Amino acid sequence: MDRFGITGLIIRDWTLWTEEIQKWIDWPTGTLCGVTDFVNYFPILLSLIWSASALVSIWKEWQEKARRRRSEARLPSFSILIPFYGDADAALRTALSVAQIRPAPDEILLINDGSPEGSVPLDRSLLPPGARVLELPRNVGKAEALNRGLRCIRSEIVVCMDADTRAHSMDWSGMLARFALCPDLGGITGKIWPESVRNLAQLLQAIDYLAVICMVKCAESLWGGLMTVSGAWVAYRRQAMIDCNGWSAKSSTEDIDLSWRLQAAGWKIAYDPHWTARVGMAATWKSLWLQRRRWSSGLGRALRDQAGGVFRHSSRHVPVAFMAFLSSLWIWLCLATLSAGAFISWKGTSFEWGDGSLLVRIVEWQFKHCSLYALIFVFQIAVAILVDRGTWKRYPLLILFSPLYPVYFWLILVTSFLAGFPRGMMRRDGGRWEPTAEIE
Amino acid sequence: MKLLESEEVHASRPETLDDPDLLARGEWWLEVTGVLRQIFRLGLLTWSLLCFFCCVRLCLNARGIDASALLANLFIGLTAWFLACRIGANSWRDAP
Repeated sequence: MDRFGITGLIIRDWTLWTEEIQKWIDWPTGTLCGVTDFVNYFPILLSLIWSASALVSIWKEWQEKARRRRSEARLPSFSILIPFYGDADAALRTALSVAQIRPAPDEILLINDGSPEGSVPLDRSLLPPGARVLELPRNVGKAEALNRGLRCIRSEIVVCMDADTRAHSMDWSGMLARFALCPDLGGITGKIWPESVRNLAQLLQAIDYLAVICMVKCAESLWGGLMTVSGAWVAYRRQAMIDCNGWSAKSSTEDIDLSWRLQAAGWKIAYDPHWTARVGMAATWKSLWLQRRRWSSGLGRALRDQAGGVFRHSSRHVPVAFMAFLSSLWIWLCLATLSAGAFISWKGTSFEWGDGSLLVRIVEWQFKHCSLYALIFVFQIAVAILVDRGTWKRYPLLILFSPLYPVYFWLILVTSFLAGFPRGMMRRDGGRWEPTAEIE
Repeated sequence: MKLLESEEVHASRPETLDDPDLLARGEWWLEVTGVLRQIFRLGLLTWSLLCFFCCVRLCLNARGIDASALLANLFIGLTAWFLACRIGANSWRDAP
């Protein structure tokens, strides 16, 4: 009994940790072993934490659903902002996709951000009722265009959609009820589905969106904050935007920047998996890589500029900022240890310790346990399917393609991170329009 | 540059311990205790992750699983993680 009692457990753990700390301070062998353990185990751990959090969120969702049914709170008023640059037809399709939503918005504001000469003009006769167009005389960038749109509306909630986003949910009352029930909720981002899957690049993005990005948002929402909202499909409380001075034109990823500033100011942001939209996927490997590099740059920028906000008294995003920092650190350490291992192996240096050389410890461990990584990733996809059950019939088929995901991870996500993250940390590049998707 | 004039704000936000107006009234100690709270949260998160790392290593240890160590780390890790997330909420009711 004593062995498995709480006191016994804590004493047992204390002894274990004393031994561990003694090992880590034994430079260089112990410390390097600790680093390689981090490199080897962190992906497994992260996947398990995401999966466990997603499972808990399913349980919480059932509770929330029951509470929402009982609520008779007045739904806040809302307007929709659709900024576009050049592609007026896509913006028009986006506006038409929200024409039938319930409850009806106060207005739909399309913002023409100084489209270049020669681009197809917007056919105003096709605009849905309640829609108007804000013409900006010159191109000012997405963030500033949204700020100018925000000045033109007076609704309590502002929904922002990219011109390549199509609303799928027609009943928005659930999303709006969350704003009514939670006065310090500053923003809600919805679930994004792939518009169409026509090639391998888009298929792997579909896996990434559905099994990783959506599940990560589900997990992060449970921890009390989000790393970022999806700028293509998000609703903000207008007062929260005013508190934070709106979107920053200095960042190339205005959504990441704003998410961190909102949470540092004490506003909560949440994920609503039932508020869904379809978004065009990047059609080519090049456009996909450039998109991901921009995202990584935005993360680097957020970590550089907004890290201080994590320590503010009102900050809500400590857990997500902590995990974002560790994930970034993991990629750099992974690169460093693999490079060091390859170099030592090439030089034939006998840098031995413990159960083998540095290369043996890192590379062989990962190859020997690749089946373990695969198993855990399949488990993660299975949990993601459970989270999004009933939304996409072909979703379980993604499991068949999951073995390709590690290739996508290393070739696209890691390389774009290595190229983009330092850019965000070092440079000051303002946002500009970079269409990545081909829309039908 | 302010996005909009403050009088244009017509939604109301409930006053909490984290309300910026309290700081404006000179209660600087709220900021100090707030920073300490965030550092404490980071400490809890770090400890929690270390415990989870230990669990993974114990499970992958070819020499066999130490059940009591596994349970201890899982218990302490989960508790620390839960507390770190809860402390961030403005109230216990308004938990993440």
